[in-house]
Amino acid sequence: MPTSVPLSRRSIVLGIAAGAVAAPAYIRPGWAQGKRLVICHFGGIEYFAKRQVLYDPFTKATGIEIVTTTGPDVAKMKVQVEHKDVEWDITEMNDAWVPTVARMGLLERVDENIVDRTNCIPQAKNDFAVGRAVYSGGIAFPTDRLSGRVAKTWTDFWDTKRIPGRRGLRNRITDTLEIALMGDGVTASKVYPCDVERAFKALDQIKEDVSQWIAQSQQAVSLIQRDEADFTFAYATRVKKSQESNVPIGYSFQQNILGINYSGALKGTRNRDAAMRFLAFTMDRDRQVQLANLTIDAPSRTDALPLVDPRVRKWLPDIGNPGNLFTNPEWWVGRVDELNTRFKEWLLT
Amino acid sequence: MIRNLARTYFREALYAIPAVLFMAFLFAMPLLGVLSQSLQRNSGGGPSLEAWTKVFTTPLFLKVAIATLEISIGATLCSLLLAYPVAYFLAKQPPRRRVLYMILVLIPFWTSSLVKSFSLMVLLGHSGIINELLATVGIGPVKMLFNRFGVMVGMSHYLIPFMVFPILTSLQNQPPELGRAAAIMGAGKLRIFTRVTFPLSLPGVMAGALLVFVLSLGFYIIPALLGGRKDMMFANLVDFYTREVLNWPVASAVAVLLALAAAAAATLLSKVQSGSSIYSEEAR
Repeated sequence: MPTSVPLSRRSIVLGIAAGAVAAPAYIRPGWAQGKRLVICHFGGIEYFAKRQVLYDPFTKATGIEIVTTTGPDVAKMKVQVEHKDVEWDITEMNDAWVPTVARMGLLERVDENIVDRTNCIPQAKNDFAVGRAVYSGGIAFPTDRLSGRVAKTWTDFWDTKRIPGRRGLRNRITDTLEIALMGDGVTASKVYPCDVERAFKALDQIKEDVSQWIAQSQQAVSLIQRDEADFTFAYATRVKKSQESNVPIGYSFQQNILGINYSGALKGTRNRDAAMRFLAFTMDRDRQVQLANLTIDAPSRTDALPLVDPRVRKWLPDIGNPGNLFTNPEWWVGRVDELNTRFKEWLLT
Repeated sequence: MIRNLARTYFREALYAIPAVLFMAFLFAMPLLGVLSQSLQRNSGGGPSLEAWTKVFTTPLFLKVAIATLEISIGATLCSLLLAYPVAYFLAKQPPRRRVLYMILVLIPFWTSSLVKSFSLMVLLGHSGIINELLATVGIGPVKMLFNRFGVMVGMSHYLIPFMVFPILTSLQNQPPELGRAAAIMGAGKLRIFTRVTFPLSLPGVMAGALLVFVLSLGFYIIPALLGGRKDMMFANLVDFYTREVLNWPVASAVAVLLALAAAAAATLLSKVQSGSSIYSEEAR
């Protein structure tokens, strides 16, 4: 397995120059076969980490160029597969999409002969998608006000008498339903199958204390920064980034909602083998360690976790903590439409 | 004579052909596609009224339709109240200065509505600039964000230019002699405005109002960011059904309803505009 090669400025320049020289070859379709992969990713700062740890080393190891585009979108996946005009060989996916998308036949089955997942945690294994990392969402709070009276668990979050303050939750039912149950005292292992009626009753209790139903992830931290809310459901990566720019904001690790960063190959890709080789590359132990060091998403390989930089490790979600909940997208299949409709009606009344 | 007229008419129609073709291929055909999509079964396989039944029997759609109408009408009224004085002021300016001021009116267009929404949060927030100022006088904090007020501010900010220009045009089209004649007959400034200027500018007001109303119907990001839990728009439902549950027939049905509402308003708009041209011919 290739060990990490420190990137010097010269090697980057050389890489770009080599890319430029090689570029004309990819215009010719004959040459392009198996020599180029198109990957659609979520963008953001993580892109640079992936470029450095995944994409460029992959090209170096295999000679397969990687071209990227941003904005994974289920509707676009459906159009590409149905019209047999697949532009993205690989796309990153929201974990909630994976079961539905797999059932709709939009993904190639993961080739277990190429992708070795023996050390992968079971939650990140899917027949049609490869889970590279674990991300976490949890309660974010300000550290410069409230004088330490802070909600750290979802039951605290629901206890508005003991811990007063304005709350912020997402304006969608996925995650919110699970959070409501945990707020009502359900332990993480008992959340699924969800008791929908109980969840909505719990939501009724907190409705008036939620000052904002958050539409976009970045709002979750900015609401706290601008004193619009005291406790919000936010992603750890965002909180860390805010802390690094000296925003007085904290994040509770006591009870997190964990999700998986998935990637999969689109059904009918002309570069199936290369795509599988790339997916295998994302499951490489050293790649996962380096990515975790740069992005604070936890590796999905059990043997990669102990190798992560100790300074970063305190930010990684604790997969073994029984208080944490792995979201279960399978439970949501066929329920999202109905429950979200009910949730939106509930919001309007 | 009639032949000549027919020929001119025909020649004029020729000029419209590129635009007609453009609209037919890039607007009408996709729109028909959306309509036929709304009449398909979501699971695939054959035509069905399933999507339309869902839209008309689920209370959510009616509630969101009402919220969309409320917000659109509110935004139209706010924009009108704020835009009329601007247009009136612009109409009174000498042409050169007017051009400069018109550029100022257009400046909000140079920023994306996402960026604008976030900067409005800084202004209107709980510890935002306005509330800090109010606090120095001992008032507040006033809740201006995450409610209907925030939505109205955000939307009007975006929509005002669309209201200013039609009103300005109709104010500029008014022959100045009318006002002078009224003054000679002894009318005061207020009377001239209420009896002459304002009634004659009504076609512009109507045109602007309908334009702004139609645009409001499709708003999406601003209500989601600046509004509260009840500020939900039809366009959010289109997005939800297109991208999250992949029920394209329902998304299409909602889109068709939106398009119909916009078309109804546009029909009204064309009536009003032809009315305004008749008036200006009469006036000359």
